Amino acid sequence: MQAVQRFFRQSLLSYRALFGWLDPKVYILVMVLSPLSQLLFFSVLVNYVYSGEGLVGYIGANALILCVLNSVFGIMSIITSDRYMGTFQHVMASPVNKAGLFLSRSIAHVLNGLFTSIIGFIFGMMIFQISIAPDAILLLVGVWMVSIFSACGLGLIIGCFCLWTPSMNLIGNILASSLLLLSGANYPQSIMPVWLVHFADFIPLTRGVELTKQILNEGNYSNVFALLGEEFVLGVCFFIISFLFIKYAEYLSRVRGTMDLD
Amino acid sequence: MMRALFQTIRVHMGISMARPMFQFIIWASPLFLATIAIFIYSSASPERIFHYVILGSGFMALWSSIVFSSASDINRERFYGTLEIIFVSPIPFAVILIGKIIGNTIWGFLSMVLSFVYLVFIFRVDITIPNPFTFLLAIIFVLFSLTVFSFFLSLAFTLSRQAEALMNFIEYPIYLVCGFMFPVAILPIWVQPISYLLPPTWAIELLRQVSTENSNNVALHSSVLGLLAVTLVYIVLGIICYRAVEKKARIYGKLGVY
Amino acid sequence: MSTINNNIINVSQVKRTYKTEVGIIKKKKKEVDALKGLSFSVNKGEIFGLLGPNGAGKTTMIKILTTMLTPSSGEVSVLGLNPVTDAKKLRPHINFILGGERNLYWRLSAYDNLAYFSDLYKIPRSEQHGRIQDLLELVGLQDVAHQRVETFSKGMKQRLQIARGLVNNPEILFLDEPSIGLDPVSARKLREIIRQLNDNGTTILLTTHYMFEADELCDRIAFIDKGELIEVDSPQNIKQKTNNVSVVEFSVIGIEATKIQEFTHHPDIHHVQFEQQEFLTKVKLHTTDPQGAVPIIYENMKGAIIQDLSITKPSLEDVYVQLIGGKVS
Repeated sequence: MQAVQRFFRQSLLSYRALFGWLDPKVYILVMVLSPLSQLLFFSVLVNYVYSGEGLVGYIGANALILCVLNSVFGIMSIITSDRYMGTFQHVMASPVNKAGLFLSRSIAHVLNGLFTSIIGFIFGMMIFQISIAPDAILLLVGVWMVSIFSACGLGLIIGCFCLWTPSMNLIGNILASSLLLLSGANYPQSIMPVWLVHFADFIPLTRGVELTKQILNEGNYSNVFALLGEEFVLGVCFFIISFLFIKYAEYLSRVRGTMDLD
Repeated sequence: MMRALFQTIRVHMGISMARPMFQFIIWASPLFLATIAIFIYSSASPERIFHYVILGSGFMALWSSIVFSSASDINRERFYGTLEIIFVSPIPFAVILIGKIIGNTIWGFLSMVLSFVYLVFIFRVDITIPNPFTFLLAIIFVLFSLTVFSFFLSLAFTLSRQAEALMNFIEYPIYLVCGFMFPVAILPIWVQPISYLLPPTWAIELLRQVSTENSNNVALHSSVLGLLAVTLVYIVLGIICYRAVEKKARIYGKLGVY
Repeated sequence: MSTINNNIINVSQVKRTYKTEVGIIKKKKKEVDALKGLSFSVNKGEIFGLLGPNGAGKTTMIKILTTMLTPSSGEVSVLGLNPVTDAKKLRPHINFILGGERNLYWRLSAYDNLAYFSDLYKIPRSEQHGRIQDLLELVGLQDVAHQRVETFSKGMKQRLQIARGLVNNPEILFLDEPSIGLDPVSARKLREIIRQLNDNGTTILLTTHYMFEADELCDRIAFIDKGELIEVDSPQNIKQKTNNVSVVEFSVIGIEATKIQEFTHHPDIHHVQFEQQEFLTKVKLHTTDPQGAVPIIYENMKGAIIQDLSITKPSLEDVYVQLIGGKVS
């Protein structure tokens, strides 16, 4: 029980410590208004081009993607911000289990992403005056939760890259744009070239977006189990890879002395 | 004076490009946006693709470079403490500011060209411009008009701290309101007057008109006149803001800090 | 005061080499020896100072002792454990503090910083509250416990760092230049805290550039330079070793540097250092024969104005400069 409590306490405290957007004004601007304006742009565009066909699915998919991008940036801060403050080496030299620590730090960002994407979706539904089947809601929350978990795993890997390179913003933006492009949030995946579709299979959110569209547009729940399972496995793989990166960075710093965690 | 202007343009283009974020906006972001746009419009007619994908993503590139550089440049100088130094130099501040804006607009234009080239070569999009010379003239007019708009924006954002916080979030709203990727006519009626108060709306409208075969002269003329009118309005607004900034700096001594 | 048996840190023949790659296209491997076979030991309950110029290997040594870096060769034991292989067992019993304002979460309050690091050191929740209150009291921050660290002054941040280093009640505390950049009053307060901790039984290993601080605080001092041990002893003994040496200090106006350098040729003058200031030059000579040296000074500097001549015992700084050799910066 101690350990569980510690897990969530660490999650909350490090979210506050490492993520600078706690000021409510800034939070609303960055975490809510900015994604909403993007959501509105893509929704209007898609609505115009497809003459309203499949609109609710696209709005859902965009709410998921656009609101999650901030979580991906947030999770990168778990490492970059810690390092920037000079606390990373203290954290690494403490006796705590590192995998557990970084997982607990990630949880807050997963929940935050879920919160903002739900707000985004409600906003989209209000603007376009659409509604969804009540039985889809819970399922959708589950699908999004797993997808965001998976996206955060990739975000953590990118955060590790930032131990090697100073251009965190650049990499983060490329990642964000790639997710938007590859997930197929604004067009059927079938439009993309085949090789790009294959590539998208290894990217988080692709399956989440697909499921969101299937659930909302077709009421098709049959693929949820399979696709969500894959998304979850993908997320677990991302987290494992990121832990290996952290271990490797620790090795470089401790044994080889070629990296400064300070 | 001209030499100072060219020097500013040259130096500033280097400074801007040194920022990784700006590199992303100029070189990478347009390609992502163009790809997304072409996927969305994949089954549309060539003319619509030209109007909404090529011009649209080109304009997004141009606009982003303005948002992420010109408008925030004064504040960046203030942050680094170099603003006062620039302000007291013998070259008028306006010349330096215009130099910076021209520099960014050149980058934005190159970024726009990059997205054209990318779409033409990778996605084999046909570009047929009925009257290339008119199109070129229109482009020059558009760039001038956007430079004026940037001049106004960068000064307006210097005057208010609240506005500055908003700066980073007006990228997509402008894409939306100015109809970069769809006609303004599909927007709700109450939004459209706002659209037509903003130069980018008229600018992209003009480029669409001059690239349409058999476009009627009335529509063409009205978009030329519209752009001309809003440009003049923003010249006046720009001068007013410039005076206000100067006053704030010289009389209230508030250039370095808020 | 101490016996050989209660060594809690033992360092024997420790070497550390950094391999760095220079250049991007033509990669050249370059090896830098940060430590070249360093040996010393620290007794339980003492304050041990590691002194040396920048690049001497002080921080490298601290990193090795705190499990953050592994030595290339040699033996290290801390509390009977090997920091390389037993890092997990060792970490709960030690802690370290790096000087400067960083290494804290500025956006959290002082209390939350300590709570967070308590969790990282797995301090049970039931003990945390009382412990944190005590620590905040120790470093004099109880009144600002719930203020964000970003509002703190440099000295307050540094004291909070001390508190952070104590969340796990470490048996050994490592301090890397704890007083860097502090004003004299804050620095004194910091020394008081360090002494208080030591009185309560914490063994302390610190590095510093301030000689008077080392002199005042440390039971024993190691001078290291270029990764090698120069001297290790108590400050008193180190000063004693140069007991027959006196320091002649004076200011002079109207003389060239070369003229001062000539003193080095004199058999009774062992060490010369000088510092050019705006109008005058400050000169320090180490000599075994101050009585003989003073007339020589006047003779050599005919025509110049000599002021503030004094003969004193060498300070730790004088010994340091003599041992490490060198220029006064």
